[in-house]
Amino acid sequence: MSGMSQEETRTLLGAYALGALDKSERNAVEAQLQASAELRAELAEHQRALSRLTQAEPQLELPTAMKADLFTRIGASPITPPQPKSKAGLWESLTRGIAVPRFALAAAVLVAALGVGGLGYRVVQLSNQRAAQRQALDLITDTSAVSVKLKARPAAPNATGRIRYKPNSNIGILETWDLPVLEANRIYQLWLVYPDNTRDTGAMFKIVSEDGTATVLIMAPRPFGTYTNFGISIEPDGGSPGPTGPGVLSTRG
Amino acid sequence: MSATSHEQALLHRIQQRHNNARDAKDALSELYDLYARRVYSHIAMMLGENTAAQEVTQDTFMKVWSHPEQYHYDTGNFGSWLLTIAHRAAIDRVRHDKHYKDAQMSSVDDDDFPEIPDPTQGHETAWREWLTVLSRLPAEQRDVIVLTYYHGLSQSDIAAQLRLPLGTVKTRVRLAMEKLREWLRDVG
Repeated sequence: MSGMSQEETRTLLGAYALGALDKSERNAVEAQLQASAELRAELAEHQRALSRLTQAEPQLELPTAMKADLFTRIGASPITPPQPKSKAGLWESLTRGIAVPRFALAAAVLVAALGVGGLGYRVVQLSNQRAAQRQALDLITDTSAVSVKLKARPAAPNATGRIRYKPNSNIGILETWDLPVLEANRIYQLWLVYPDNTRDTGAMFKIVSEDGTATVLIMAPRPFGTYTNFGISIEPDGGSPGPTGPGVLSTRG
Repeated sequence: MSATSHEQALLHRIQQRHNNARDAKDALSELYDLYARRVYSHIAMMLGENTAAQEVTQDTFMKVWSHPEQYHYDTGNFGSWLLTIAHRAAIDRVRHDKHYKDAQMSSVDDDDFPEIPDPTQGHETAWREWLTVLSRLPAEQRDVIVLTYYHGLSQSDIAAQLRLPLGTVKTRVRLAMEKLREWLRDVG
């Protein structure tokens, strides 16, 4: 089932929404959903239809003790610290956006690379600039946007990341988790790679959060659909014309 | 069941449970009051009005409590998200409990709808609405919707139990969902 086409996937979306697929088919559909905003939007339609069917169901009276039992269970369960990562979970992989509360948190480390052209980048803290937040938020809520996962390289084996963008747009969002805090004279540099392996710089940023998270607004020189791969390497402060340091994340793994 | 700023505010308060557990519990209590009846009703349609339905309902809200960050506002509909959690938890319960499978299949040969939990008195109007929605589907498509959505059977389960080719079952499910979506577009 790993080679399922988009059209085959489309015919199974209704069954997927119903929860009627076997495990192998479900996994194959979820892989396609991760790659296709179009399929995710179509799945949402199926789910809305089922939600409407559910709304037509008779409403039963709630058992009187159920709420008290729920809060007894909650009282007995430890409150675990917040988890900055969101690697797993169907809904996470389907939606892959930045939740508003999380976005507010992430805004503290939101940076944007302004201008185009290699070392001419300025890295500007935009944590208080509502315009940048608005731009990022619009992208997050745009169902036609796609996400690509960045895989860890040996220099940062626990790191993960993803880039969300619209192929015909120059605006994107990079999210990272578990990237190490670097020495003061080092930065992370995002590379946008063309099919012929030449590169543009997408952003330069530093990790300021202990959990290695960053949310970076990318303003690419060309529309994102132009690029075939993305990668992040450790570079001297100020950036490099090409990768010189170890890679930490890459779409190629 | 659409997401509102009020629901977003409640979820945000739950996310702050590490800093203010009491306020987070108050927020969860409010979400419970808003949605528990619909969640429980749907689960009871699948499992019956019993202890299992109560446990799965509680599990659903426990998940909201433990992982409020897993709801993303670009899904656009908090109610759909919550019901999907509830539905999947109920399916897990169904598939791990042979008792329910036995109960399911005893009704498949019925000419009428497969057996579902008895409605309680005073819900006749709601039942009519629900039946009206399903009655828009041809019988064979209606049955696969009920068997999958309310009895937690997979397409393979249905094919095996009804001795139908798997492709036939898949076609019926696909056509049924297309019709439900068309209906949704019609009613807005």
